Amino acid sequence: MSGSRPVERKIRMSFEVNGEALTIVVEPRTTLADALREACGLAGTPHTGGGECGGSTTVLVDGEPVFASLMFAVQAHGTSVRTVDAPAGDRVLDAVRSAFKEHGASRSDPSMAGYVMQSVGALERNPDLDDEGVEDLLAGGFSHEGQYDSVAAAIRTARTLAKRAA
Amino acid sequence: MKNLGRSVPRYGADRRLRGDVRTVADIALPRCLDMRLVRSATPFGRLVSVDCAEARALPGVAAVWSSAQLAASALPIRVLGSGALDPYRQPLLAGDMVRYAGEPVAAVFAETAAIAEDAAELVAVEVEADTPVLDPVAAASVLSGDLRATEATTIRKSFGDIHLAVHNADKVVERRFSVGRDAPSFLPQRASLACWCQAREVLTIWAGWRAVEETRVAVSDALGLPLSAVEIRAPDIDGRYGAGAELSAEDLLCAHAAFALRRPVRWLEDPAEQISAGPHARGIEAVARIAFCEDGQFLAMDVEFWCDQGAYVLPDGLIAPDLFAAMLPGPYALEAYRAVGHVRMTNKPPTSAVRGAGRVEAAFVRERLMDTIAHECSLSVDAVRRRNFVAADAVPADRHVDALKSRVSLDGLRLGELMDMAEKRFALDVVRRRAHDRRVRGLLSGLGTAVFVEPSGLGPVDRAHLSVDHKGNLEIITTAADWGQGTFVAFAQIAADIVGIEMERIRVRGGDTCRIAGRGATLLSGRTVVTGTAVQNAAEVLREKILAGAAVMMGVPAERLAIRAGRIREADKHFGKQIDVGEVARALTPGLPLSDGTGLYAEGTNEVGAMTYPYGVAVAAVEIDPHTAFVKVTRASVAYDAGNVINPQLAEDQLVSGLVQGASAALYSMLDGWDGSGSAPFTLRCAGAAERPATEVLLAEETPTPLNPLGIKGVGAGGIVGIGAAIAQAVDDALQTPGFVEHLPVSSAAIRAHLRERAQQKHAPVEEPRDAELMI
Repeated sequence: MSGSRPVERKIRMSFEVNGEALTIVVEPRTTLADALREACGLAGTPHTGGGECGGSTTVLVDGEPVFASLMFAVQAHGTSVRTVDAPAGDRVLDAVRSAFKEHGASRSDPSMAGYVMQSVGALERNPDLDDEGVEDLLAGGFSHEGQYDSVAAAIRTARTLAKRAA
Repeated sequence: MKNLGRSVPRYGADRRLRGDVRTVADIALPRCLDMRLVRSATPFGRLVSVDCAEARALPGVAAVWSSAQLAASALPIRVLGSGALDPYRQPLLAGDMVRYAGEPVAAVFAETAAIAEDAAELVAVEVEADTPVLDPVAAASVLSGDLRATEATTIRKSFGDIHLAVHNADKVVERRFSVGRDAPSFLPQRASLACWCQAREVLTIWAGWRAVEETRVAVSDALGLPLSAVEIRAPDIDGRYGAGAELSAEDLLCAHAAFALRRPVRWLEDPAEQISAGPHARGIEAVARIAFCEDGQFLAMDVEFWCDQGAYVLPDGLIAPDLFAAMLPGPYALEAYRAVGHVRMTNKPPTSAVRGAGRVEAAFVRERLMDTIAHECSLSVDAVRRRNFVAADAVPADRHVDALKSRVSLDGLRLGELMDMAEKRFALDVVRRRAHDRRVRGLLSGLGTAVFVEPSGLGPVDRAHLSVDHKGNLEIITTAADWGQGTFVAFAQIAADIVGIEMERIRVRGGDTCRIAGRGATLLSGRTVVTGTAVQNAAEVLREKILAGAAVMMGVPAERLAIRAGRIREADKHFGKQIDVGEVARALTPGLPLSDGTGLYAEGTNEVGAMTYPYGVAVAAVEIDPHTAFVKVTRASVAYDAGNVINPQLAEDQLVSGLVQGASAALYSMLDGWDGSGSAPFTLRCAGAAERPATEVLLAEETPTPLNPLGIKGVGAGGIVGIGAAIAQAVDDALQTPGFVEHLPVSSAAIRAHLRERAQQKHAPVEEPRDAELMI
């Protein structure tokens, strides 16, 4: 393939994904979500084709929650990205996972991947997140199955579990 | 341990939390092409030309098709189809005409999704635009450039002598109600993947369809392949609540291209296409003439309705109009009923069956009519409802109409008792008093209820295969795919209790035509009923086989043996010889003396005679902001009797998500008011966390159905069906204006206009306690 169309311009970028250093080649227009899915083979961030989709594509870029479908992959060059696919061993993520499981909040709703990462981001920043903060967190996402109450309960439990593990 | 009736967690409940998913978008096949569709930007007109030359020249493009490259091919109509409907089938790519904005005109196949997207922009489409038909009611009188009549089909259902009933009535009232267009919301977006294997001469498709086998037949017909050359694999499908996964033009295009281009082809829907391309739903307008007596007896209903069906009749497109007409009488005993439904073509995206298809609309219209009777007779709507319920001793009650060609016959109906239970459990007297107190203080607060019956467990037949491997693991294979409802764990619970084996040893597979062939369809919320009964039948055969084998192996008569936790021993002895089901399976291996030639294997079939009819009471409490007229549903509850419940948690989850979705659709659906010209709105407006009502569910289990041995009726759409009707009544109550809501979604603009008008009259209504009762 050759030519001058912008399609064929490729960019090499390096970043850390779930603790692993990776170098991938992407187009300028590739979103971080697509790069994670296609180039890194991580299926946890749902395919949304570029929409924001209720925060379901949230990942942590240098600890900050970001909608991966609204960020270009190249913008993540040199950063450390954490996704819902991360292996066990992370204190807050482990706490969030077990709390979501306990409250049945995981179900099959793809939005939950987003809620998990948003919760990790919020609890890392503020381990004493109050109930109002939990409501704010809920409002930042969207559950296709209306499972907000179980997500709220899960975040509150995760707060306790994360503190206990600290 | 007994598993039936327990809330066993669904399989893979925590997969999402670890990223362990395998949707179509996660399946990577080598040399896979991405498909991108060029869609019409014009709602209606003659397709003059489609120029694909420039797109084909783009490096990385494998093919670009317009209808010229594709032999005339159209989607089949799976439900209630007939030859007369042929002109209304959707072509895979538009031929001479385009009939809605968003209709596929050309398909681009390229090395990457990005190249396909670029190439699609280079396809030049010329359309000679015509005036689109947008109003389904006026559609018949509009002369269009199209060669087909605007009324695709007319649905007629009736019983009794309507004229006699009207003659006998004290009052006859006519009311008009409508439900606006809505659309399901997909996450992840729709997707399809097809791969032709030349070595095996098999086309494999990964897609989550509700009717896997019928869809397989449709694909084999479309491609002229033997049925055995088409196999369907079930990927993870979820986030599809509310959307019927039916065969789409995109699916068939992928299949065609994979076969013709000899390369895997996938299509991942772009969210920008979703609302203009995907099926819409609802969109119904009804004029009902009702005849009743002064004492509240409901004699007859004569209804004419118009369906805004969109540009084509989709495979499942006629489900909603048919069920609307079938379920409109609901739980009420009428002397006569007549429904005439006009399925009208409009230049909008086609509609299809989404959660609660036809029944959400029917419950809204019917319960509005009950309010009308109550108001006209100065009775409470509660009393009018109870006065007219089909008598419990008349059950099974033949309703004299068919729903999807299956006779409607209620199998247990104690709605009066369920209303009492709901009243107590949800503390409705307290809620009612609180709403009244708030209204006295000038706030707009109201409570509404609605009752409904649901058709569930539609056949005709489903199958299940059970087998035990040499280690004693039980595998259940069904035709049903798991859409995330968790039905697989319910199947395992059924088999575990009947066979006597632990849940941990059971695996369930489904929706995969390589493993099983059969007609099962995830439709009308009856998977557990139809497939679950097939599993039960197979499990009973398997149990007999295990016991017969073990009897020979142990030298003990089968009737003295018991299976507990996968081990067989003499029922009346706590100690002594035990053998594992795995040992029985090994002894029954074909070729060995004990075997009957099939191994430890059993098949179960369930041929469904009649559907089951669960029923419920939906309750909604609303608060209306007096300044903005924003309606907030503060509570949404449902009391539901689905017979015996296999897994209460699964049932509750289903009902809660239905309540939230239904409340959202009753208030915020954005397609309502969209005039159909140009593209549909980009995003669908849904209730988020801040708007969510507090939800409560009561599972009654008072009337197990006699139609299957487990006594289960199916849960599915019970959450969504009545909640819109309940919200309508609650808004009436908050405004103290009987019959105010005539349209769903409830319009804040209409409420504001009403409030302004009322303010101008300067007489703030002084409320009497009796009025409050009247509304409930």
